[in-house]
Amino acid sequence: MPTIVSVDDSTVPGEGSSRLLLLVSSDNKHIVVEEDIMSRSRFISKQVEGFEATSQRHAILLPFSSFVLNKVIEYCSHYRGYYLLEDDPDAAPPGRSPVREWDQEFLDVDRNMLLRIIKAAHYLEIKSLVGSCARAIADMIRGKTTEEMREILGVENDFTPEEEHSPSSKCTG
Amino acid sequence: MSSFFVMPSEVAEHSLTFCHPRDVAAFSQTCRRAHALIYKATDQYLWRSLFLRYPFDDPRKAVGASPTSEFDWSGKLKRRVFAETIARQGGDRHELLDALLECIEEAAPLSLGREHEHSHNISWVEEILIESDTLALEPEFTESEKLARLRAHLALSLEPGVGTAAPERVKAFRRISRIFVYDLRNYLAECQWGPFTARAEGVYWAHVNAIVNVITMNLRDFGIQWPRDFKPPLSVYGLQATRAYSAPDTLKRSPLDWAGVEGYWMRIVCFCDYRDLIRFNASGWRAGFFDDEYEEASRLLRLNLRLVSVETDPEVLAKLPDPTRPPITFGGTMRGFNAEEQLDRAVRGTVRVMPDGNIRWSFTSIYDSHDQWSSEGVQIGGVCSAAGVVGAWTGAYHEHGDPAGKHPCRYRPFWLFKANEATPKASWPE
Repeated sequence: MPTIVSVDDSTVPGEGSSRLLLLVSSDNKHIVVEEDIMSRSRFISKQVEGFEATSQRHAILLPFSSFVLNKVIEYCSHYRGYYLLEDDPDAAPPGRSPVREWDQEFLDVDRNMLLRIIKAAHYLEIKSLVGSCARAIADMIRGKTTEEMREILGVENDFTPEEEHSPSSKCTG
Repeated sequence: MSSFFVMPSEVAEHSLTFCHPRDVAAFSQTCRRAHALIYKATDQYLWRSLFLRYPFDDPRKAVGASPTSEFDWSGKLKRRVFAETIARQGGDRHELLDALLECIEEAAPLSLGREHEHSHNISWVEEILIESDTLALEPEFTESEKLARLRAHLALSLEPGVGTAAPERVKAFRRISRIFVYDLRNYLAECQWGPFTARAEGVYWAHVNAIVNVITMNLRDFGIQWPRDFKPPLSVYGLQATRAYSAPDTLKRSPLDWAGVEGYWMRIVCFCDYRDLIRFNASGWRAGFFDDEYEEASRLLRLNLRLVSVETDPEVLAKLPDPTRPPITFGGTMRGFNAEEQLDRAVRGTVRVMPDGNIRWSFTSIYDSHDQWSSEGVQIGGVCSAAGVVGAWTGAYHEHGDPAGKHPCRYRPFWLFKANEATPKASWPE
C-alpha cells in the first residue's frame, strides 16, 4: 500500500465535475491529472471514494516510475469518456477483451516496458489495459518455439536434461 | 531486463489464454515456473479459457450435461488439437473419429433467441473433413462403426455429385449402399426389423448410413423437381442439422414431449421394383446388380403426430437408460402427396431411448384396415434434430415373406423429418 500524504484541498482547483488528483510516482514526480481521466482505474476510484467519506483529499502514491505512470495516463486520456465493458465494475466480465487497434500501436514497446505497464495496470486495476497487454504478450510468443520464447520473455531454462526430454504434452505437434 | 515472471501470475495466465494450445505447450517447456503455471494450476481457468476460445462450444451447455459438470478441459482440448494433427499428418484414426464424433455430440443445442448461432464444434468438424482426407477412403473401406456413424451424420453433404455424373467414389457409395439396403438378410427379427444391433440394444450405423446414402442420391437425381422444402434438412444444411432442437418449433414443444413428437412431419420412402427386389435376393446379391443407371421410386408422405401418453410407472422408469426421457406413445395420421391419395392412414408408435443412448422411433401404419407396415428408425444427431429419423419400413406381417419368419417380404428405407407448419402448403410438383 502506498503511503498517503495530506495535501491542501484548496490547491486543487475544481473545474466542473472534473476535479484534480495528485499522483506521486516512485521516482517522486508529482503529476496532476483530472480525476475523470483516471476513473477507469478501480484502484483510484476506490481511493477517491475514501476521500469523499473523510472529506479529505490526498496525494496518491504509486509504486512505479513517472515514465510508466505517464504511459498509463496517456492510455486513460485516450479513452477518456469512452465506455469499455471490461472497466465497468457492474458489468459481467466479457469472455475476452476485443482487439483495439489504438492499443496495439500504443503497446508496441519493448518487453521491459510492456511488463512494467502490465504491472502498473494490474496495480491500478484497469482491466481493459491489462487485457490489451495480455494480448500483446500473446502476440509476441505466438507460433514461436520454446527456445525463441525463452529469448523473448527473458526466461532461463532451469530444467534438468532428463526433465527436458520427457515431454508432458501432446499439443506440441 | 525483467522477465515474464515479474507479472502477477493471474495476468500471465490471462495472456496465455490468447494463445493457441500449441504455444501454451511450448511455453510450458521454457522453465519450471512456466511448467507449474500451466500444469499445476489449482483451478481450470487457463484450460477452460483455451478450450472455449479455440473456439469450441461449451460442453456444460450440451444436452445431458449439467451446468455443474466437472470437465477435464485440458484433456479434452489436447485430444481435439491432437486430432487435427492426425487429420493432417496421419496417426490413429480411431482417436480422430472419436474426437470428431464427440464434437458433434457436444455441439451446442439451439436455444430460444439464439436459433441462428452457428455451432463452433460443427464448423471445426466440417473444416477438418474438408481440409483433410479423413473421408477420402475407398467406399469399400469398412473401418468401423465410428466411420459409418460419422458418414450417416454427414449424408454425403461434403461429397457432391449427381447420378452417373458423380465422382466414382460417390457412385461406389451408392452401389454399396443399395446392396446393403435391398439385401433382405439385413432385416432381422433379432434386430427388431430396424437398423439396430442384436436385441435393438444399439444402432447399427453401417445400416443407417446405407439408408441415408440411398435416399440422398435418389433425391439428387430429381434435382429441382424435388423442392428444397421437401428435402431432409441434412441434405440441405449439412451437419448443422444434427444439432439438438434444430427441428422446426421444437424449442416451443410441450414439456412432456421431450422428443418433439407433436406437429407436422414429412417422410420420404424409396423402393426399387418389387421384381428386382426378389431377383436381387434370389440371385446371390450380385455386387453389380444395381448399375449406375438404375432408378428407384421415391415417395413423399406427410404426417401429423400428437402425443398420446408418457410412461409414468416408477418401476418402468427405474429400469430406463435415461429416466428423464420416458417412452412416449404417439398417434396421428399419414398420407401421400399424390392426387389419388385422399385418405389418411392411422399411425401409432413410440419413441424411447435405447440402451446405447440413441433415440429409437417405432411406429406402425395401417393401409386399407388390414395391410400393416412397421417402421423402425433412429434419430440422427441430438434430440429434436432437424436431421430427423432414418430407418426401415418393413411388412409388418414379417412371417409372410419368409417361411422361417426370419425376414420380411418387403422393406423400404425411409427418412422422417419435422416440417414447418407452413411447409405442406408449398406446392408439390405433380
